Amino acid sequence: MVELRGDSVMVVDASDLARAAGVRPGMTATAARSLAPELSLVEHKPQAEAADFEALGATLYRFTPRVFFDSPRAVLLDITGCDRLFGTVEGLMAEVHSVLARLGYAARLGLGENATAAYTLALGKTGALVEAPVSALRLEAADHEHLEALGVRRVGELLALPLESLPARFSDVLVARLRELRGSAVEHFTAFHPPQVLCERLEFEGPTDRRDALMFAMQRLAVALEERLAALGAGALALEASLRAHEGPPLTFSMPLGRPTRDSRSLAALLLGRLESVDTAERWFDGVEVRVPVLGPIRPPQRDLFSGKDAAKERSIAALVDELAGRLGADAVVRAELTADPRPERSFAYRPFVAEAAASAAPAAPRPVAVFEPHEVSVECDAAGLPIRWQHGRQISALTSAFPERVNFGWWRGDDAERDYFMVRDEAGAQWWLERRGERWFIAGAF
Amino acid sequence: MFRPALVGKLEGLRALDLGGQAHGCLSTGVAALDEHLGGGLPCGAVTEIFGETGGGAWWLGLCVLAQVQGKINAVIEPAGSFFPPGAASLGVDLSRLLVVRESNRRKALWALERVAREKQVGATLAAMGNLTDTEARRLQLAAESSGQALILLRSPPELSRASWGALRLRVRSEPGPGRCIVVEVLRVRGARILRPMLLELDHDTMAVRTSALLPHRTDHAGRSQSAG
Repeated sequence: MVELRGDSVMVVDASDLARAAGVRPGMTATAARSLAPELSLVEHKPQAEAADFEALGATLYRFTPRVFFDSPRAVLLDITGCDRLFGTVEGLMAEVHSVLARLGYAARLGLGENATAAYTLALGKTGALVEAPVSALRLEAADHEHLEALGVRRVGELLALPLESLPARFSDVLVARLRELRGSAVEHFTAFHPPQVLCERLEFEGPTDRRDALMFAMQRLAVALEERLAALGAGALALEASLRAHEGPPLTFSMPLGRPTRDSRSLAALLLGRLESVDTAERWFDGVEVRVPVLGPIRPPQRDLFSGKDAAKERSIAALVDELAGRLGADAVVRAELTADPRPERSFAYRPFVAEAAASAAPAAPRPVAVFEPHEVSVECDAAGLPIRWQHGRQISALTSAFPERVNFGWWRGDDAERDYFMVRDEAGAQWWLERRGERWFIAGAF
Repeated sequence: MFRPALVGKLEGLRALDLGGQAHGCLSTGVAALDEHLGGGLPCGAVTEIFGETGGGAWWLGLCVLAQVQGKINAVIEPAGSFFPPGAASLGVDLSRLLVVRESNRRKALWALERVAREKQVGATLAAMGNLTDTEARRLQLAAESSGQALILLRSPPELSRASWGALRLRVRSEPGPGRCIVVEVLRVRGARILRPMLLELDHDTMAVRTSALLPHRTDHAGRSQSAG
């Protein structure tokens, strides 16, 4: 991991393999390369690292409400009492391990009686504390040199030295660390509090215009969001995605969800569905960010003897509606509800589709199955005022035997406050809905 | 003369064709038409209904939707002429009817395929014109996977296009004493040739009053075999 300092590229941190080859932090990249020609250099991005760390903390919040940071090296979880929820401590450790693996982190876990012991075990890569190298204690360089000169390499050897003789020879840090290791003092770490608005971001190595890269990012973010939502015991009620453009403003889109959603596959399907309708042509992107502005509680699935199957059905329908609405917009995925308004065009209203709505009633008068934008026609009437002939002299017969259906909704609503509707059949047998406004006639629909 | 093996193979093929009805049938709500079609509209398959506006294709499609129990229905119609009160008057429960209002053809087609893949949808009615061979095939596969009855309303000029529909109907209005609708069966599973059926409806309630089988010829002079 390298960083640009002044004019030179310096090594900030190195992997175990690189250290084995002699690479140390503080070297120039050129010097490191000369030691290990196959070295791969990664740019150090402190901000992105901090954001990732924040997200990681929020994810691990599901295991315990007491999460601490020693940024950027470690996350400490106080699992006192929480292990019971996972059966055993080992069960909890396995779960932590699998969550981290899903998110793509390579982590070393340590389990100890206190934070310092656990930290030392994780850094020391050994099962027993006494076996851990003294370097795992995070000591000052001077202490290390001193210990090296004394031939003390293991924590066990250090613990065997008489404690009262140490303050005179070593720094306060070493003395404090040993006290903390024994449990007679407590090492303090920064407590982590999860942010109220969930946000996950992914930075690309370099700007990209490839859709598959964007899609991959969305999928990864959906997985990360699922973990974080699980930590909060909640689901997303809305999603906001932002594609950070290399130049110009970011491309953003948001979508409300019909029900709290946590499943990463559903979230990914929604994001990808919407992404397809976004025009990303000729633009380069640096990264992707997905936020969850609204959270909702997730009800555990019904374990009822009778309603279990219905709940699964409802979830399946809700997922369908969410997916459709995510891509087409919420206005496009609806159900109709009849209203009391007599005007045909207002006799129904579209509402958001929900799986379980109250059953609807049928309208009292016959209604056509299709309506059009009313277009005017010339109509001839008989003496009684019933239409008998329309366009080009073609015969029609009125089916509304006595009176047409009169729709009257008050003069204050506009000029065409009064309309008559006739059901007519043409020579070919097709049935139409004819509308009369004053002296003018319109075809309004077909049966 | 067919050899027995060949006859056996043909029988097997025929059974396979009929066996496609593993998902069963959905009633049209018209008993005589159900009987004529061998149970109704096939589930897990595409039914194409050809007809002009006002000819009765919408009426038949909505009648089928009214028969679905325990699942939701969907209507996808990019033209935007679907009138919910009309569907309600035919007995369709609007609270269980998912209406997709999308005028962009590509998006509407995507929505149709997505809805057709959903097992919790009993029947989908879509007025989607100019389907290509590939699009039609994808819809058929989607319907097969979900087991729902997928009804496509198409205009008569599209009759010449290739089709994957298990059932093809042409519906048109006929002059007559009441509202008369003729349902022609252009293709049905099992390679049967069925006669057109005339349905006479009550023009107010749109309920079927009488039904009759017509001869294969287009002159419908002999409407003698009237059945209740």
